[in-house]
Amino acid sequence: MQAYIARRLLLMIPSLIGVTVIVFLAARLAPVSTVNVILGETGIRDEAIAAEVSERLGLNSSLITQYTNWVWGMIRGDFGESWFTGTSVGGELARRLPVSLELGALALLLSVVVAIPIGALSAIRQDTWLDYASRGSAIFLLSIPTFWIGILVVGLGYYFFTWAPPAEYKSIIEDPSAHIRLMFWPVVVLGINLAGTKMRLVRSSLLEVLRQDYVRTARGKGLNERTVIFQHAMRNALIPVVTVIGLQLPLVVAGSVVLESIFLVPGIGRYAVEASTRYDFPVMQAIVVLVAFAIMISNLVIDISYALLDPRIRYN
Amino acid sequence: MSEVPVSGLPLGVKAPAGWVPVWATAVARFARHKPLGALGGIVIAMMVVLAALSYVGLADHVTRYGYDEQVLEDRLQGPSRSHLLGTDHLGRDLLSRVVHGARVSITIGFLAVLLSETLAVLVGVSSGFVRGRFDTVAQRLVDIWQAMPGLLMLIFLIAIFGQSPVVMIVAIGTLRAASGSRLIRGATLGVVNEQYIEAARAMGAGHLRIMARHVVPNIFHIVLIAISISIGGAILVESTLAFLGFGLPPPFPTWGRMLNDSRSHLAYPWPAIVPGMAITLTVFAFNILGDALRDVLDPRLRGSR
Repeated sequence: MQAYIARRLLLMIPSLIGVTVIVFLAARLAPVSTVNVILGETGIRDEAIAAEVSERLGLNSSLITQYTNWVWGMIRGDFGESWFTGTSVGGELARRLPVSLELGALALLLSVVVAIPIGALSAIRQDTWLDYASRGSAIFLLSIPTFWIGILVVGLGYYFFTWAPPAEYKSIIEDPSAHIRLMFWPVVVLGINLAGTKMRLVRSSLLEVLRQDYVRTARGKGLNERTVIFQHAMRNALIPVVTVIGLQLPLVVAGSVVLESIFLVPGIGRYAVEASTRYDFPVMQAIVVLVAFAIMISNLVIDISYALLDPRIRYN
Repeated sequence: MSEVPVSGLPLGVKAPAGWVPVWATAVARFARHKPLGALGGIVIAMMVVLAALSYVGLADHVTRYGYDEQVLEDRLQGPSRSHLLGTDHLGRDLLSRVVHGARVSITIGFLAVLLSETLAVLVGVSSGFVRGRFDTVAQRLVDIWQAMPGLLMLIFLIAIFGQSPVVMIVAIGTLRAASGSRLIRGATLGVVNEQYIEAARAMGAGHLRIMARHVVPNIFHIVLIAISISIGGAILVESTLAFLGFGLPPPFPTWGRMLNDSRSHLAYPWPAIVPGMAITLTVFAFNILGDALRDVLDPRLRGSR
């Protein structure tokens, strides 16, 4: 197991190099001149100042030097400075990361809590109206854009109850009630959106397990249906759900980008959108690399927990 | 699908009276067994027709308003006889804008998926067929490719390379290809040891010929299912980008940007409801069609995912 984890961590290195090279080259290939982007704010068009800005950003050194400086900085925890605000990107990320993690983790938790009972019920009552209704709504959930539900929550809330989400973010320690009022809807919208795929998976996985010999044995020895399903079938049927959580991580990120923008949650996603609209490349580069790294680590954790949950799976 | 008749008539043979082409019987049988999937197909066909109307410039005659025609005294109205789906905050007809918006979503959805599935087949089939060291290297590259956080990367790329249809199609298509290639590779591994492949090899067929003439046709049903579901996903991504302000620039309407515009007038729900329904309906249609196709074409996977 340790050897497996070590090998997976080693394999992450080429992936990270690939991601950083692509992100770096994309920013350097940009048809917009970075110096003009920065000076565009001030309206200054002076050769000397342009040269100074370019020198200060290190844009005059070779691409390889620039790349290694950037990567080495990130390894030491220095993500550079925002071109727009001049503040440290690392500090801003550290402030925003917990907010996004909270949103994503709670939404995933909610989706599991919603999906397991509905998916299981759908499998147990296969081919009844209940099954059709839950399968239909699962496909429907896959089809509704998250941002549309977000807009409708805000719009209809205003229309019927003259309710609006709080405009200012407060941390849970500062003001728990304001924090919950702000985070509630983004978590619910994202959670329900993620539940669709899981409902389908729980259903098909439980159906497959229910056809296994050991379930027939359990029934044959006279156990009641409740024990067969909860003690025998569910345990094995739920293992694949762990995998789908890993597959859904990019969707979690995408969903938080959108919902943070709608509900004014100061997370990484909203930071990314703001940075892109004003060509703040250091911020965008840092976010893409950080999120890619986070997804790789989460996938490793998921694969390990998979082996812990299912003793038949052995990595070596 | 055992009772499907052998392929069409030979060239130069006239069809006898009452003869129905193979594809027509297949479509009819599909519609009979999978009504929901057929409904999805009809909705998709409808959206394609709307997009085509917009391309040839006939849409304005059908909807009676141009997409950018502002009638300020009619702004923010609900559905009425003159504006069937109501108007937005500038008095533009929502029906006309939704019809023209179909053109953007349908075009980008189809072309992005055409690109992504082509890449996925090229990488997946060669990787699964050649195996060995080539496969290992290819799969490591796919790992890197898959590690890109999709939406963030798209926002980044579009900010850099500009908000044009080509940039959007290439960016969406390339990023979606990675996971698709895994699926195709798996399907290829499933057929490479079949006897017909061995037979082709024994007859002296080259690798390229075997891949193109024997592997691809035998996994094509997997590609077809993936295409249907993937177009729905690509349309969701396109509208999300447009909503965030990274879609095609105004004035041409896109569903996502219409939804973004609606946020400035929360008290009037129609501009928020109409384009959202259009996206949901279209994506839902692709999803149920894909599901039905999977049930029919790949019975092993019935009801999964």
